Amino acid sequence: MATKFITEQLEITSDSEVQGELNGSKDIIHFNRDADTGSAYCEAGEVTTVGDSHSGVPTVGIPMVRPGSVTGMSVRWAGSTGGTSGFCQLHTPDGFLFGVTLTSSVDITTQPRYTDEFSAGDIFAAFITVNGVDTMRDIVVEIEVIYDE
Amino acid sequence: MGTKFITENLLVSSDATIGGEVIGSKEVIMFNASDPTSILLGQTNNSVVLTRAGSITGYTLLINISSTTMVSGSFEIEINESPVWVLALGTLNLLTNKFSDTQPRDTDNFVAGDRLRVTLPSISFFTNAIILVEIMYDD
Repeated sequence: MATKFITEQLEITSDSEVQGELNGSKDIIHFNRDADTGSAYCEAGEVTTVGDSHSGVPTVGIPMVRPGSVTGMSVRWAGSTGGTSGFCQLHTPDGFLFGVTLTSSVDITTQPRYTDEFSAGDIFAAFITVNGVDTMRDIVVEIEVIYDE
Repeated sequence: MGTKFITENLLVSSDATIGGEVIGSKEVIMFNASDPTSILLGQTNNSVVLTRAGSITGYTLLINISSTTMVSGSFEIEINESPVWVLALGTLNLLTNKFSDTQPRDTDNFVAGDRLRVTLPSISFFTNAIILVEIMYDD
C-alpha cells in the first residue's frame, strides 16, 4: 500500500479515526511507593521488589511492549517534614535514562521525543532518592512515553 | 461536517494535533501479583471493565522466581473470564523470566462493557509478576 507523507505540522480540528494500526501513540507507566527515606525503587502496583541493588540496571520492573522514547515524568508526593527534596530517576537496562529533581510536592519534566529511547522488552524501574533525613510518603510516579510502533 | 478519507498509510513526520476526538487509540493496562491466585489491578483482584470496543494488540510478562524448584504453566489473557490469547510458558528459569508478543489489530476483539483480566494457571508459586496488556480501541 502506498504511503501519504505529511512533513508539515498536521492539525485536525475535527475528529480523527484510524481504522488500521496506530504507530506513535502516547502512554503513561505508573509507579508508586507508600513512604521512604534515603534511596529506593518505587513499586509497580503491589510488586515491591522492583529494581535491584540500586545499580541502575534493573532486572525486575515493567517490561515495555514496543520500542519508543521517554517524553515526560511527573512525581506527586507528600513530605512528613519540611523542606523535603530529592530526585526521581527512570532506570532501564541502559542505566539512568531520565529524571526529575524533587523540589515541591508536584514535580514535572518533559523532553522531546527521541531524546531517550528504549527497545521492546526493556525494563522500567523508577528510583527515588530523598535528601537528608526527610521522609516522603504517598509517592506517585508517572512516566510518559511515545511508542514508535 | 464532511469527512476526508485517506486510504493509504499516513506518515506525519512532524507534530500532529487533533482538536476533536481520536477514534482508534492505544492504551496499556498494568496487572501485578505477588501471589499466583491473586493477580491485581492496582490493589484490587478483579477484572477491568473496558470503556469502549477494541482489540488486544500486545502484552509483556515478567515473572520472578526465587525458589530453586522449577515451575511451568501458561499465561492467559481473558475476556469475560474466557481465554482469548494463551501462551505456554514452558519451564521457567530461576530468577527473571520475560515474555512479550504483539499481534495485528482486530485479532482478539472485545466490546464496551466486556471484562479484561489475566491469569497464570498451573503456576503454583512465584515471587512476583508484572504484566502489561496493550489494547487498541475502535472508538
